[in-house]
Formats: sequence, structure tokens, C-alpha cells
Amino acid sequence: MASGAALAWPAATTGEDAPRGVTSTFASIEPADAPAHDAEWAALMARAQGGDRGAYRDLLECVAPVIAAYCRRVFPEPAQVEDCVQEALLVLHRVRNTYDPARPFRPWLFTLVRHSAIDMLRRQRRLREHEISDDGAAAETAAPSSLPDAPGASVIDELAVKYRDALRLTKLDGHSTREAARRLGISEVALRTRVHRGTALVRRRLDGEGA
Amino acid sequence: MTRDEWIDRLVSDLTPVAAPPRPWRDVGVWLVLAWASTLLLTVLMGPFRAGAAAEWLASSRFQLETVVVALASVVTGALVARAAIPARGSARSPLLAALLLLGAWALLLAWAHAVPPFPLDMTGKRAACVLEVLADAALPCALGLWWLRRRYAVLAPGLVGAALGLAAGAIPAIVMQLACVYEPTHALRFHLGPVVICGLLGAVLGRVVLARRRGPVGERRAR
Repeated sequence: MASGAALAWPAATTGEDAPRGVTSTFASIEPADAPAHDAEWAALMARAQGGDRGAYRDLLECVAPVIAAYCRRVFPEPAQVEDCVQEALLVLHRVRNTYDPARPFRPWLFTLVRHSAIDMLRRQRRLREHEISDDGAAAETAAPSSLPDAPGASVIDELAVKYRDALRLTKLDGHSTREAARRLGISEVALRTRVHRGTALVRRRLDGEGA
Repeated sequence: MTRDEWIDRLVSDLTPVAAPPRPWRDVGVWLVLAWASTLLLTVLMGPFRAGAAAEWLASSRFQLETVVVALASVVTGALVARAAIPARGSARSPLLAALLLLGAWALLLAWAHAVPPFPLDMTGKRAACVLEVLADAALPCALGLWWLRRRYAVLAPGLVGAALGLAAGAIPAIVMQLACVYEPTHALRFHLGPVVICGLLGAVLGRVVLARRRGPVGERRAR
């Protein structure tokens, strides 16, 4: 979960071009009784703005599946979908004061969700560009250490310590990004960078072995 | 962390928040403060050009310039506030409005260069009008950024910052038309030019200041 990432707001409602894959409307994922939901969600949000935790929990549990349905249209991996949902919920939490209960809730919510999805896509694109330009990273190898027996584990073992630890914690031990970043004492963005670079190195090496 | 755990964390972090931002009221206050600070600083830095009021009253084109640029600050400011609330407004519209209205001013200046509305001279030129425009715009720009960061959720910090910079710069620029000389070439370079710089600085500052907003906006602790 990218809670530590800066809120670099995307173009969702700004007219800027959205990355490919982000749909412009939510019509296709919204149920037929969406307007009824809107009134209900607006009421819950109004109570949440006053500090009603029960209403807030109800609201988040109601909107999370809708957000997930949207994120599934943008991201192929379930983990990415979950990240997108959690990011959207975090953004909603942070800017909850900007919702005006006198106005419809769904446009406000979906603007934030779309922003979160676009933001994630942009971060992924930046990370991929980093990987491509990081031609010196392959040279950064370190002494092997013990790792669980998993596909690619021996290759991971040969990576630089920073990549090895990042991959081990997130891919092999199953820790969340937040938890892994906390354990390594680095930011979540830095951890993601290491995971992406490490993954690229592993893929490159496995491809080399296969050739 | 699972979704349920994440929701638990968000719920446990919930505190009451202040009422939603009121863009029209906020823009009104911002405009009053921006115009007041600009006029005050301009007067403190030196007297207005002798005969400026008479020229303004006598020339409808000079009046039109003033209205266009004042409108640029008002319209852009209002659109900035709307763009800073999710689902309320486009982030491109304030920048577009500012560019259109300031572009119209540039055309009026070009017209004044070709066909002067009244006899032009360099009497009353202020020593550092460029720096004055930049300095006078700094306070409204900083105030706007602070306000947006504290109370709003800016979706496109660069665009909104640029528009805010242009709106803040337009006010001292038109005031300088009365305080400094009225000479179109001079105005284009030293009165309108700094407004463009304000826009660029606003874009950079917007990306730095507005993109880093982290905590719940307007949050107040439960008593």
C-alpha cells in the first residue's frame, strides 16, 4: 500500500490525458440502483465527516467493492487491484473534508478513484523507465545468503543486498509493501523501486540461463 | 495488509473535519487581500504616475485594459478554487482563462503600440517595476498556495499552481500600468513579462507545495 507516496494528483478531472487503460466513466461498473446508493453513501459520508466511525466503516465497506471493480478494469494483477483500492480509500480519507454533503457523492468518489488508478499507472511507468535506464544495476552483486527454496531463489541470492532483501521480504516472505519498507527502514517508494529493479534483474538472468 | 485491516486503520484514524471549503467566499477574501496588499506595497514603494487617473478616465481603451486584467485575476482565482475540489471543476480551465485574458491584454497593448490611445512618454517610470511586480505577486501567491494546501484537494498541482501564479501576478501588473509609465513596449516587457514568470514559478511551487499534502484537510480533533 502506497500510503507514504506523495499525492501527486492525476488528470482525472483535470482534462489532462489519462494513461492508456483508464476508462473515462464508471457507467459500465455501476449497478442499476446506483442513484439510491449515492444518497445512502452521501448520508454515511456526512456522518463520517462528523466523526461517526460506524458510518465511516459502513461507507468504506460499501464503496470498496465498487472501487475494486473499477481497478480490475485497469490492472491485471490482483495485488495491483488491491493496492489501487487501498490507495483510493486512503485518498478518500485524506481529502474527506472536501466532500460537500449537499452534492452527489459518486462523482466526488470516482474522481478520487480515477486519480488513484492514474497515479499508480504513472508510478509504474516511471519505475519501468528507471529499470530500462538502470544499466549499471546488474553489476551490483553481493555475496550470496541463505534464502527459502523458491523458483528464482538462487538467482535472487546473487543480487545486491538491497534488491535481495526487498524481493525476499515482499515476494518470498509475503510481507506488504508497507511492512517490508518499515523493516528495511526505507520509504515505500524506494522499496517499490528496489523490487521492480530486482525483479527485472532476476528476469534478465533467468532469460540468460534459458538461452 | 488486507483490505479489512486497512479499513480498520482508516476508521480508527477518523476524526471530525471542518465544513467543506467554500470556494466563492475564499476567492473573495483572497482577492480583497491580494488587491489590498498590492496597492499598499505599490504606494509604499513610490507615488503613482502623475496624471494617471486623468489618462485612465479619458481613455476607454485604458479602462478596457484594466477591466480585462482585473477580470483575469477574478475569473482565474474563482476557477482555481473550483478546480481544487474533486469533481467540481477542470484544472485546465483556470489556466486557459488566465492565458486568454492576459493574451487579450497583450493584444490591447499591441494595439496601443500601433495606435496610442493618448500621447505616450516615459515620464514617471519607476526604477524597478519588474521587481515590484514580482514582489507584489509573492504574497498573494503564497497565501493562495497555503490556502489551497490547507483546505482543498488539488488534483493537478502544476496547472493549478501556474494559474494561481498568473492570477497573483496580474494584479500588480495592472496596478503598475497606473503607477509606472504607460508605454506599450515597456508594459509588455516589464509589466506583463513578470506575470509569465509568476505563472512558471507558480507551476513549480504548486508541484512542490500542493502535491505533498498528506493529512486530512481541515481536520480538527474531537473534543
